[in-house]
Amino acid sequence: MNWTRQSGLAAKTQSATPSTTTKPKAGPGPTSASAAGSKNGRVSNGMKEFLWQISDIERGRVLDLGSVSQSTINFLIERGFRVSTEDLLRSWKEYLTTEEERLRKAPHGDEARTSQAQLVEKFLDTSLDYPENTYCGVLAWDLFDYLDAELLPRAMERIYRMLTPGGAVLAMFHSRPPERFHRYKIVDNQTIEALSAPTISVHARVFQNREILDIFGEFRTSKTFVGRDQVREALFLK
Amino acid sequence: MWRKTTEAKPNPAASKPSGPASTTETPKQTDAAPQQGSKTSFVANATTAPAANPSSTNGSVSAAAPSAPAASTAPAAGKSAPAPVAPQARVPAPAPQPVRAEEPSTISAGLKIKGEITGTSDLTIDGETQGKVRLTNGRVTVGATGRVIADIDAREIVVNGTVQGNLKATDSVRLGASGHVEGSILTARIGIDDGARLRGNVEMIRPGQGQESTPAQAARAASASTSQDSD
Repeated sequence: MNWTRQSGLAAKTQSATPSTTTKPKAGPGPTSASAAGSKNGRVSNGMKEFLWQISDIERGRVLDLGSVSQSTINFLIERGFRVSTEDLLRSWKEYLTTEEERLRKAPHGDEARTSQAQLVEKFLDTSLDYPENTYCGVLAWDLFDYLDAELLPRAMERIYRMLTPGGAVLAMFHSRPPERFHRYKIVDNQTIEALSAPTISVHARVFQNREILDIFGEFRTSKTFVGRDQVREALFLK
Repeated sequence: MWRKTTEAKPNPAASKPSGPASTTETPKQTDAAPQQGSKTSFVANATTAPAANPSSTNGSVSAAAPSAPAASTAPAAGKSAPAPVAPQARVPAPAPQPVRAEEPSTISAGLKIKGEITGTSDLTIDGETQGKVRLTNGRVTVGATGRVIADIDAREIVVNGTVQGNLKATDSVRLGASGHVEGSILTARIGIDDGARLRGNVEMIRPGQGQESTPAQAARAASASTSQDSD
C-alpha cells in the first residue's frame, strides 16, 4: 500500500514537471509494468472524476467489470457503495472456449456451428443481465478494446441500460497495443494500480478518439484523460 | 452406529480376554484406533449433524472415506454382539471424543452430496455439494477441488474451489486465489486473493449480524438495521 502511494505520488510529481525529472523506474503504464513485474501505481484523473460524479449518490451501486480486487471492493464499500463484480472479458473467453469444445465433440461438427452473432446472444443471456437503472457507476478498465467487434456494441447497450440517469462509466483505452495484460485496482481517490496478469485475451484493436465517441454514442457527456503511459481514461455520463 | 463401538466406555471388561479369536481381533482394533478412531468420530460428527435431515446419503457418503477401517470394526461389533465390550475394552481409553466436535468434517473429493447440511461443527468440502449448507456457528471451507451449488450460511467461509450460490457469513468470507464464486456475498469482513473470481454483489454487515436464528432476534436485527440500511 505504501509503495503504491509513493509511486502514485512520484507519478504525480512527474507529470507536474514533465521533462526535468528522469523517468520513474516503475513508471505508470503497461510497458513499464512488464518491467516492474507486478505492481504499478498511476495517478488516475479519470478515477478522480468518476468518484466525484457518483459521490453524491447514497448507497449507490457500482459494477466492476474487471477482475475482482480486494482493494477496489474495500475502497468502494468504505465510501458507502454497494459493489458488484463481473469479469466480463474472462467470462466471454471462457464461454468461447466452452463453445469450441462443444463443437469439437458435437457429432455433426460444423452443423452445430453458430455464428458469432448467435454466440454473442447466447452469452448475453447469462451475462451483463442486470435490471435497468441499477448502477450509478461502471468500471470497465481494460475491456472495450479487447472485446470482439460483435460483442462490443451489444455489451455497450447493456451497460447503458443498467446505468441510472447520470451514471458514469470509466473505461481504459490503449493508444498502442500493450505488451501485457493488466488488471486494475483502486488504491485511493486518484490512484489506481495496474498489475501484470495472465493474458486473458489479446488486445483486439486501438480505437481512435472518434471511434470511442461512437461506441459511447448514446451517452450524454464525455471526458478523456491521456496518461503518460499512453492509456486513455474515458469517462462517460448517461 | 459407529459411535457405540468407539465410545468404549465399558472399561472394566478389559480384563476379559475372549479367547484366541479375540486376541487376533484386538490388535486390529488397536491398530485401527489411532487412525480410524479419529476418522469415525468426525464422520459420526458429519452424520449427526445432517442426520436430522433426510440426507441419509450424507452419512453413507462420508462414511465411505474411512470405509476400510470402518469395515474392520463393523464385523467385530456384529460378532461380539453378546459381549460387545470385549474388543472395545482393549482400546486404551483415549476417548476424549468431546474434542472431536471441534474437528472439521470433510466431504472428500469424489463424493457428491445432495440435500441440506446443518450443524455446528466446521466443514471442509473437497467434493461436490448441492442443496444448502448451514453451519451458522462453524467454518465452511471449500477446497480447491470442491464444487458447491448451494447457498452457504456460516460464521466463516473460505472458498478455494467453486461455489454457485450466495454466501452469508457472520464473521468473514475469504476467496482464495483459485476461488470462484457466482453469487452474492453478505459478510462482515471479506478477503480476496489475487486471481479469485467473483460474479455477484458484495455487501457488508456488522460482525455477528445476520445470525438471527430466532424470530425475535431477526425482528430486533431488522429494526436495528433500518437505521443503517435504507433498503
